[in-house]
Amino acid sequence: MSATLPMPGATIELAAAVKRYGPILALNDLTLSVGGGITGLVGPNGAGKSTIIGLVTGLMPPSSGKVRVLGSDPWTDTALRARIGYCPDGDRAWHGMSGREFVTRLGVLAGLDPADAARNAEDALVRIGLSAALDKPISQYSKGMRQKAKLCQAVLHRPELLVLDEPLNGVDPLSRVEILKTLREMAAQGMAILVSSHVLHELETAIDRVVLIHRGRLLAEGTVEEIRDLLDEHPHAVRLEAQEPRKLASALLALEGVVGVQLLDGKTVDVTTRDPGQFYASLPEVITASGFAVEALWSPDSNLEAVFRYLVKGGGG
Amino acid sequence: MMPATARLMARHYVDTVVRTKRSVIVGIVLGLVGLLFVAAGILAPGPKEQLGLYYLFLFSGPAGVVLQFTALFFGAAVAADEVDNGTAIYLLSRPLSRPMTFLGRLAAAWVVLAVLMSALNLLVGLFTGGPGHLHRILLAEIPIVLGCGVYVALFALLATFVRNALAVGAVVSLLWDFPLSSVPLDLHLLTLRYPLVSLVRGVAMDFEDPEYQALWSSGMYRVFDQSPWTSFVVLILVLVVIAGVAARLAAVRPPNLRQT
Repeated sequence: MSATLPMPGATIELAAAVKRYGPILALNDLTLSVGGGITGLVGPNGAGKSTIIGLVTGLMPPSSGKVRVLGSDPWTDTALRARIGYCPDGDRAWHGMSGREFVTRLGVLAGLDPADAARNAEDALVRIGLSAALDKPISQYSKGMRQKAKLCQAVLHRPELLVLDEPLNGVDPLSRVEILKTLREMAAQGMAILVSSHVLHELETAIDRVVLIHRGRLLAEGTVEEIRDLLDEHPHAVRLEAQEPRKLASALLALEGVVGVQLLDGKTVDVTTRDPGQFYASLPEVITASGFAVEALWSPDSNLEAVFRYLVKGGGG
Repeated sequence: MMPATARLMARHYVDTVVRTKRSVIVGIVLGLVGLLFVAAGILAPGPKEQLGLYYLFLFSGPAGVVLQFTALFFGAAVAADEVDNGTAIYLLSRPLSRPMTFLGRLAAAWVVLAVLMSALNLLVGLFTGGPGHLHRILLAEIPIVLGCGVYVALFALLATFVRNALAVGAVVSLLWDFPLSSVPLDLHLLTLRYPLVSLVRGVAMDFEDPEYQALWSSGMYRVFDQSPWTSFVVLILVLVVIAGVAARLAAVRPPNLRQT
């Protein structure tokens, strides 16, 4: 297949990109274009998100097809990598170093003068709330503190494109809010940001556009609202535990958009709705009016895998 | 002059590999080896026995098991450490030449090992061979420094394409370099130890002494009869080729994207 770039001039362009790891096809003829703002790269584990990030950051070349970042090939153009900031997933760090040493070292390796790198590292770490832990070894940092230090090293050299691989994975709720706020501030200053996650809802308050990836293929892309609408077309399952499940089931069945109710045992009700937004809005009213005590509520579909399976089967886009 | 990327990476290697507990343990083991020879040298009955101890040190240390296993530790770390612990992607995503990233680390490993082994040679040489043999002790530094480079490069190369390079490197040393360098067939030509021992012999040993002449003309040492210059050139060429191939392989090696 010919590899024609989809939107020349975009920040990130992949044209018919294929990536194989031996017999495993990680990316399958992926054509994708990402512009400015914050773009969420969303897909279940193993979808190919980290492979896309590896191609975009120049960590590896595609097996075939083209990859262009800021107009150049990140695999062959060494200088281009000074314009990209990369925050990898996991706890990767030189754990014997302090946060200050870690961020400064990576600033120097990104091309900053050592004195500038040291000054910028301290500023960045203080601004992100790590002033009390500047000289502590990273091995003593919490997960949220490590993510913040990793974020600092990725932006220290003021890149034009920031790429983050699962930056919220395992991070406490407070640090999540702070990290997302920081990303919004950076985007407002003109930095293009690509951020991956396997959970859409953890990103949706911060991102402008969503790219859905599944099994190495592009499944859908659009604004958060467009993707949310697309996902909402998928029947959404909600499980409730209540003292009087039979009465609760009959009250819920009257709600608009509810297409199925199933009693699982003496306490549990599964509800299927085509309009989860309406369902969640109406639920408190139903509970208050009827006086049913709902003890637990969760969505088995919170994992994107079920939605992806639905979309792949042709129920959606 | 060393390119800026290589200098940065050499410093990074020193910070992340040399300043670790594992390196301290390696340093302690080397120190104990040195002390053992120093003690034996002090207790030796005469100058001839002392010089014999120094030659024993040269073949078991700088040209033998001590050099190989220390080089294995520092050489494997050149290519394997950052990949194994997942931090290689920080380096690979920086605007740094990938071959230079590798060569800078290799140069640092070579220098660190050469400093350690040279100091050990000087210490043991002065307490066994004695100050009267200082010229031999100093000449022995040539093959020591070169041997450090060749073995570090060999094990760094190994670590670019095998997992668990420490174990595989130990097996390579024990099954290939040591036995083959001792067999009477031409297989010894395929080892790195052959030109290294020949160079040590050529620059540092006393061939006026009939006892050592007899030693060299019999048994396992008979094969190490290459001229020092030939050995020197062979070792330089081997070093350049191994380092070049390893740098190319390291540059295209895929990183560990998923941390385990």
